[in-house]
Amino acid sequence: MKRAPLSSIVPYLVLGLVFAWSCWHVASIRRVAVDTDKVTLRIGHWMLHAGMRESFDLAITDYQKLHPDVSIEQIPVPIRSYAMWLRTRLVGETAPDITGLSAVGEEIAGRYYLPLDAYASQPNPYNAGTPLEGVPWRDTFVDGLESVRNLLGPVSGELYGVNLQINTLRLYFNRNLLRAVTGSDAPPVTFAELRALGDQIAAYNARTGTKLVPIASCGPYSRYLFNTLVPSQTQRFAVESSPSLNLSVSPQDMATAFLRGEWTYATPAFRSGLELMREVTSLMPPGFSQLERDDALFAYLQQQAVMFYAGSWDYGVLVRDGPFPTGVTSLPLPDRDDPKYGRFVLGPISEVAGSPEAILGITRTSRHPEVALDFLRFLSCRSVATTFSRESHRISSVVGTPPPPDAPGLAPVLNGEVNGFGIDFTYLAGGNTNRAFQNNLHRALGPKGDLDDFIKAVESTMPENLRRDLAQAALGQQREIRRLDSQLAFALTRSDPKPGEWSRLAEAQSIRQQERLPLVQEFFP
Amino acid sequence: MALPISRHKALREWKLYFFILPSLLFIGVFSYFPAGSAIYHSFFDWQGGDNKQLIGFENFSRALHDPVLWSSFGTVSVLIVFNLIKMIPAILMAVLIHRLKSDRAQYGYRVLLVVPMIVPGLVTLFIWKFFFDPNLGVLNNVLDFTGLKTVLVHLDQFFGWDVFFANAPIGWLSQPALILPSLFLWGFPWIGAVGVLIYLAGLQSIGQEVYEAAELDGVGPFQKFLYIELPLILTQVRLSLVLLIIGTLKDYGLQLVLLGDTGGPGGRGMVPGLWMYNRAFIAGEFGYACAIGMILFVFILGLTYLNNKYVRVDK
Repeated sequence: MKRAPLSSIVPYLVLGLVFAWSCWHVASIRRVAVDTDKVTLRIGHWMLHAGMRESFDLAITDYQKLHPDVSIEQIPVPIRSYAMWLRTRLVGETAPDITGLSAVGEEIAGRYYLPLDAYASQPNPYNAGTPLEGVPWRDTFVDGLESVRNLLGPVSGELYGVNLQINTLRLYFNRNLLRAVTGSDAPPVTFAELRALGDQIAAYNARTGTKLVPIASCGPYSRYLFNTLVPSQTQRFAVESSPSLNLSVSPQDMATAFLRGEWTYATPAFRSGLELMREVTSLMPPGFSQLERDDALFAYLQQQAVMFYAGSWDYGVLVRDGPFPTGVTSLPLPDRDDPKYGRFVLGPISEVAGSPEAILGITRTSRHPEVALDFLRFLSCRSVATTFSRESHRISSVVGTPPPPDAPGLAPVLNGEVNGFGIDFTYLAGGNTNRAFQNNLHRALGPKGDLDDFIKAVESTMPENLRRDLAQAALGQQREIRRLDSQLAFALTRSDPKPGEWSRLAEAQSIRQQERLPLVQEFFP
Repeated sequence: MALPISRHKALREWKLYFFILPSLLFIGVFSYFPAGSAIYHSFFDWQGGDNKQLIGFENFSRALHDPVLWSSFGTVSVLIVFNLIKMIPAILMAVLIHRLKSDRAQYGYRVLLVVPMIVPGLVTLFIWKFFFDPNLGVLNNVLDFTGLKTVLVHLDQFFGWDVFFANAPIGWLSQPALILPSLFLWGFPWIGAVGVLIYLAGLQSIGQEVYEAAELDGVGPFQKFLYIELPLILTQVRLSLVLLIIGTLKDYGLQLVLLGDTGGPGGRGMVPGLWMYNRAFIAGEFGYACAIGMILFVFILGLTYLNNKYVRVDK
């Protein structure tokens, strides 16, 4: 028999070796995870921004020093795939012990996460020796965890997570470029100064042949910009027309008011908001709506733009990768003296409501929930919060934690008037109205933009879109009411009744019914 | 064609059938179960959670009156026409490679075609997104450098398109009127490696004697293509056509990456697959998205049937 040449065996040999190495690799990982006496915790999150993973690593190292019997593994997942990753992990019961809560509603939170209310009223032991010693855990957060409660448990009132940080939106500016254009690195303070800076940059470009853009932007970040600017025009409307008299107008309130004929986009305050959007567009790069966050970031870091309107979460990467000093300021909004937009303005807007960031919760499938809770407390104690703030250049949600030393301007502005509301229906269920708004925006903002054309196009389909979205909202409310039935029954029959639980849930259900009934009676009889 | 065998013979080594069970199991779990689940859920008002309500054919009747869905079918029809045109360069490239005298050169070109296939599809899409960037993108820079932009601006002024302006970069993906042309430009010069290799395989099965006979008759290069090569690779062209129609109808990755989940400004790039994605993951209407998927399935099935029935290859 003829023997096979050696070369024909090589591929099989390589395949065999690779397979053997893979087996060994898997077995060795298992050995670490299973054979060890240590308790292993896993924490999964989407916060891959500059400094966040490093901050988690520092916190994990410190915690492991305090608890040598605990081993913690960090699982960072890109935000693009995080929602899908989390959903499949939760459903498959393989979710890490602690996960970041993103794109999670009350139904998912209630089913897969442990309620933390009972622990929130106890002090955080890791705050011992600080002014927060003995303070209930809940009250160690600047807003008493209300924003997280409203986000994850608006109906049941349960607390399913804690937020380590707060987001703010800021105007970042390249000090060197600003100095080159204006002779000073002082940023614009009023909307008029922002407008004037746009003209100065245009003159600088004409003089030097450069192609500087005033504000780097992209599709998603332009919406942040619009939703910061436009509420300045709806401040008075919010105060005067709030249906619940709580100084706010929800997207559902807006929708019903439109269907009742109480406003249109031609109503002066709304039209003024649209005009403001169109005016600020001239400061952004042409074709911004087709760009993504990375494109805008790239343009700013490449010094093709003088300013960049982005979230506090982006500051870390700006100071890490920018070969120039970056300054931080709030976006100048029209004030009451502004000749064009001032008549709808109440005054500077307070950011006290803030938006919670880095929300972490404990999954019900955790094998060591008590250790996970302890680590969550550790992450939200004053000293670790200070480390996070310093390393990640973000704003901590823990009371008294100093803002990043190099960017105190990131901290929320607590004084000011109540905010108005956006007019694009981003948060209305169904998304039909928002889609129509976004799809027609080019009619208003394009090179030959025409507000009347935009208004006509959007409003021609608006009643139908709003009705569809409201039907979706009503259906969602119906589901929540139904879901509360089982929770109420459980609260009545449980062997270890929680004080006040039943009445709280019954009250929540009653409020939901009161919200839903008029909507259904008026629009879907 | 396989010869029929007796039942006795087929069952003689019945244990061997167990070998195909794992494959059947995987196909069942990963291909048929999701499809079955989609059919089942298309009759429900379902938002992806545990709760769902049986609503019969309501999702389907809503889809019948959904203007976005039907306009997305219009868009996808245009894209199918674009893709038909884009088949031509691949056929020509395959013929050119086939006619190379040197086997070594043929091999070299085949390798050159296959190498870009290593680049993940998503990366290619992101490269194209950057290509269309109004400020830094290659396309606008080339148009500026060659002066073609001035020509476009003049044409715009003449025809009144209102899309090309002298003092602003061209927003290929931010102007509704430019979205379909951009989707047409995508993939230039449209030499898909898979297509070329399929056609090449067909060309290589043509016997040398056919060419020799043609040369004796004094047939020129173009006539060779028209009367010999093209008719003899029509089987491959038909296969390509089926794959192209199915792929274009169900694909939405290109639109999602380039234009976002709303199909870009004016929703001009909305295709049925993207609308299905939008309804499921943006609006949370998973039941309705399943119904759209079913309608899409019926369309693909119908077009494939028509293609198999009427696009005949006579050799």
